[in-house]
Formats: sequence, structure tokens, C-alpha cells
Amino acid sequence: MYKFYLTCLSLTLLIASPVYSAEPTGLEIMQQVDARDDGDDLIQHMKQRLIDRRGNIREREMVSFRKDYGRDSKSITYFLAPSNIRDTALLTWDYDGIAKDDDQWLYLPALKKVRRISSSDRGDYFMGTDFTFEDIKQTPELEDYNWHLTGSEALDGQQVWVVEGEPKTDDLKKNLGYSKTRYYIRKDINMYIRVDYWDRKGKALKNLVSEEITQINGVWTAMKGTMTNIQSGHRTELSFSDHRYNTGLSDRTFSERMLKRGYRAK
Amino acid sequence: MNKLAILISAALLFPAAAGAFEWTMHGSLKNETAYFISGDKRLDKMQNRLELKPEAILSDRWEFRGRVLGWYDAAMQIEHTNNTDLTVGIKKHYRSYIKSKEAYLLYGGDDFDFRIGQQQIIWGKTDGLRMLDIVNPLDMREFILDDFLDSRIGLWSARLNWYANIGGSEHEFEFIVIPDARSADLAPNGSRWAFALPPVPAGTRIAIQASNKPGWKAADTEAGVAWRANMSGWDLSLNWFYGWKDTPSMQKNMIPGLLILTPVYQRMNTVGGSFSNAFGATVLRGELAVNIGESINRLGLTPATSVGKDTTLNASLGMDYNKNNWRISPQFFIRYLPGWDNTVAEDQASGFFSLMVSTDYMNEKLKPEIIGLYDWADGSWMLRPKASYEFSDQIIARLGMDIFGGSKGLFGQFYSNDRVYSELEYTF
Repeated sequence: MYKFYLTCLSLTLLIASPVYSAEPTGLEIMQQVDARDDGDDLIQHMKQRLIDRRGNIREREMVSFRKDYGRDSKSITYFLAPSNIRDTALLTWDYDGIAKDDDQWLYLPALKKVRRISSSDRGDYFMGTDFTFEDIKQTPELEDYNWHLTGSEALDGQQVWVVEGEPKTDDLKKNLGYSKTRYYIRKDINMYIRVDYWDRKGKALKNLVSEEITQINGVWTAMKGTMTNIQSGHRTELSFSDHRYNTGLSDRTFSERMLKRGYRAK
Repeated sequence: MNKLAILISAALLFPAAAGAFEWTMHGSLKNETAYFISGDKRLDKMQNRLELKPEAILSDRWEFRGRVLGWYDAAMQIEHTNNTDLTVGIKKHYRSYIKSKEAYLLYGGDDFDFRIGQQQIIWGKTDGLRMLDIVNPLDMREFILDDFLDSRIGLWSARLNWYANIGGSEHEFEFIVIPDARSADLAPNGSRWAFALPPVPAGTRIAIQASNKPGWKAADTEAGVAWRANMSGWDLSLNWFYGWKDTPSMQKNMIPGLLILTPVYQRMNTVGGSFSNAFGATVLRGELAVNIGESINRLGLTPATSVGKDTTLNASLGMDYNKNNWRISPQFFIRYLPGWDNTVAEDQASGFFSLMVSTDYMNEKLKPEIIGLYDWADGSWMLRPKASYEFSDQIIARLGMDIFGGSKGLFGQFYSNDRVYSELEYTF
């Protein structure tokens, strides 16, 4: 009898296990998002439209280069327009995990100097946009949050996981500027298509919507993204173009030398 | 301008047809108006400025980059001529300006960049005051209030930046040669921004003689070498520059009733280095510049006893603290003369403390900022509050004040030059 029960239990577990493993944890989903193939390197052009609540528009154009070094990455972004910020450039050496702060340098053409800038205040807004330095990363530092899978639903005709992340400590909440984030992640390609953010007091703050998701060189890529600040009514629209993945970018692309040289399209 | 013509001709002689070059032109139109609110209250300036930045991609490797700045100052027309600070000569000096600031060819090699032409070469990590940033002299027609980018005098020079991977990190070696040695352009004597002359006994007149400034001569050539690298997270540099001190010492010759001053320009060696690193929300940065054989003023009243040479140590330590879109940057500067004696016309130790606080509102449309500089040896100070507002991508307005305190020293000498100013800029 005992053997019969044991056999029944084993069978039940065997049958049940695929169902169990089909429901990953929030952390596992975010790890899949983090591990998603986004190319070993990337060149892309970007247009920013900063739109205030009155509809006044400021536009910026940039070109950015990124290269992965294992789980670390390096990126350099050049501002091409408007003229008053042309040649401003940001170099980031992004280290995986929270053990080591990212290194960042900013070239300011008005000073003709490369400045070391601190990267720890990830809650600071980037160049007047609605994106913080944390937001412009492909994925947040997973170790900073407690991740919870809160649901599974259809969004814009796609099946998505709904994963909420809560910064682990009050200091992190203060540093990041968020008390909670909610990611809507497409199950088929492990890519988020919407993110909601709550401010440190728990009030809805802003949301990011990714659109026109398409495959370029085999890499799923969002061609548009809009971050809308619900509280201020300001929004930032990003549109990407001229993607080139896996071109074998040189390490020297990501250096102080290139910050000072500036980008000139040839 | 002849040198500029040669450079442009050289650019046009490139193998590719000139029509194939990709030329771009950016620039700005700007009005800068300032009004003195202390001393004799009047317009300081009403400049209408045009800045042009022509650039060309000449080939895969070669580029041309230039920058020309010019203006007309209507205040020199509006304000009445006088015999003190607005003489005919001073008005002529301030009325109009057109200068090439940069015009150089850049060759981008695999392991090196080579630039030849008129350039601005900037060293060091400090803001506002110059220690290692001594390669280009300044046009000091507005003391140090103008943006350094505008007040730096472009020098015709050759610069090679060579990059080598040593031990897994990139090291940069910079070599510069400057046949176009120049000194600072000082504000004309008698003008509101002229440096104070040495005190003289009552009844004694001052006469200033012409001086021998460094120029385009083989014997006056300047040269420098710098090394830069990022090691264990630290941005480091070592620098050496063999050049001229940009500002003159004043050789004195006292005869009864008359003090004759002769500006004297002398060579010096500068060796030093700089560092910066980030620690959390704070960036620590500093630099050291040792001027060997720097020309200094002495208290004597004869040519032999009024000017000397000494080694001076100049160091700074600063930090940038960033939090919630606020930036706070204190800096401490010290200048020390190890060989000082009581004939030297400056303190053995002197220096400055500076503080910059800035933030932004409305998605960086509105940017208030305040900079304070305190001369702790003389007790004088300067305060520079400013706010800028970005009306659109092209139009920016700024309002600000320059306030001076104390009665002597670098800032105190301008205590009657407090001013308010506005700027309206269109960029294209």
C-alpha cells in the first residue's frame, strides 16, 4: 500500500512538474529579459521629442554605440542636434551587479573638457528627458529589487507576464526615485512592452510604452518608446533608426579619445 | 589671417574634389548686454555676436574644424566718450571684434590623432581658475567673466595624441608644439576691467612702456607633453609645458616724480598632474602645477629688484556632489612660494575657495546656478548668480549678476564693477 501511494505521488509530481515550471518566478522572468539576445554590439540613431503639458516640443538627435563585455557593457552616446548641445557626449562603462558603480564621463563642448561624473544617483533625470539614468539601461539592476510575478494577461494583442519590482531598501527607493515598478513582458520574446512606475510616496508617476517591435538582424528591437510623466504631463518620445547589430565595434570606440573627437557621420 | 588662408587652401587641395566634401555650418547669434550697477553706473556692453563653426569631412581620415567669433558693441556708441574709462582708444578696443578661435585639420589614425592649425588645448580638472590649463592665454577684456571658450586665444600649433594599450588599459601620450607663442590680451589701461597698477607715492605719475611680448619666432616656441590613463578607476594625467607666463610682471624704474613700468614676459616650465575618480554620488578631482622659474613681482623700485623668478606650487582639490538633479562643487586652491622672502610682492601662501551650486527645473528648461569665489589671502570675493531659460531648441535667455567684494586682491580691485547682464542666444 505504501508503495502504491509513493508511486501515485511520484506520478502526480511528474505530471504536475511541467505545469509548475511553466510558471516561472518574477526574478526568473526578469533574468530572461536580462539574458535576451540584444546583439553583442549595436549602433543606432535616436530622436528624442520632449513635449511639455502645453504641447511645446524640443527635439534632439543622437547616435549611440554599445558593446557587451560578458555581462558588462560599454556605451557612448553623441548628441548631434540641436546645435546648442551638439557634440555633448556620454561614455558609460556599465558593470553588472551592484558591487561596482558604473563609470561615466561626460564631454561638454562648452568647456572642451571631459568630466568624470558620478553614476550612483541613478534616479537623476537624463538631459531633461523623462528617463532617469536607471531607465536608460536595457534592464534594471535585478539585485536591487524584490521581483514578484503578479499576473499573466493580454496586452495589445500579446500575451504578457506582469512582474512587479520593489526596491529592497528605503535607501534604494530614495536613490532610484521609485517605490515600485511594474513590467509587462511579452512571453514569446522576453521583452517588456510597458513599464509603470510609482514614486517614492507610492503615487503613480510615469509609464513607458514600447512600440513597433520588429526583428532586425535577428534581434527583437523596439523602434519607438514613449515615457509619460503622469504627474507633470511631460513626455519623452524616442524613435530609433539605422540599427546595426554585431558589426564588431572596436574597444577604442568607448574611450575618452572618442568623447573628445565627437561623432561625424562619414 | 594668412595662416588661416593657407590652412583652408590646404584643405581644398585634398585629393577628392572640393565638391565632394561634406561641409556643415553651425553657430549662434547672441546679444549680450551688461549694465554697471556700482561705481559709475552705465552700460558695460551691448554686444551683438555672431559665432560660426564651419566644419568639413575631407576624407575618411581628414577633417577640418573651425570657429570664428565676432561682435559689434553698441554700448561704445551709446555711452559718451570721456577721459577716464571710455577714451577714444578704449572704445575702439571694445567696439568691434572678429577673431578666428579655432581652425585646424584633424587626421584620425588608428592609434593616433594629429591636429594642425589654430587650436584650443585644455589641460587640468579644475573649473574657473587655471593651473594646468595654461596652454592658451586668455583675452581678458572682461577680466575672467567671459566663457573660457570665448576668451581663450587660439594658438597655431601641432598636436599629436598617441594611444597605446599597455597592461590592458589605454594610455594617451600628447605632444604639442606651438610656434605661435602669445601672451594674454589684457584690458587696456584705464578701462573698467584693467588690472590695478601698483600704488605710488602722492605726486608720482605712472608711465607704462611698451613690452616685448612672445611672438611667432623659433626662439619663442612653446612645447608640451602630457600622459593620461584610467588606472584602477582613477583618471590620471602627468603634464609638462615649456612656455611663457601669459601675464607680465611689472618691471619698475623709479625716477623723481615718475614710476616707469615695463611689462616683462618670461618663460617658465610647468610640471604637474591631475586626478579624478567617482565615489558614490561624489566625484573627487584635483591637480598640481609646479611652475619652475615663474616670473614674480618684487617690491623693489629698480629694474633689478622689481622682478624676479621663483618656483611656485599651485594645487587644487575639488569635488562634485550630485543628488536629485542638484550639483554642488566646492574647490580649494592654494599657491605657495617655497623660496619666498619679504621682497616678494605677494604672500607666501595665497589662494581661493570656490563654490558652485546648480540645479534645473522643468525638464532642464530652467537652470539656476550660483558661483562664488573667495580669495582667502586678500579677503576679496566674487559672486555670480545666473539663471538660463530654454524657450526652444534654438533660443536661450540668461539673466545674471557679477558682484565683487573687498577692496584689493584679484576680485576686490573690481569692487566698483558690479553688473547685471542679460543674454539672448539663437543657435543654428
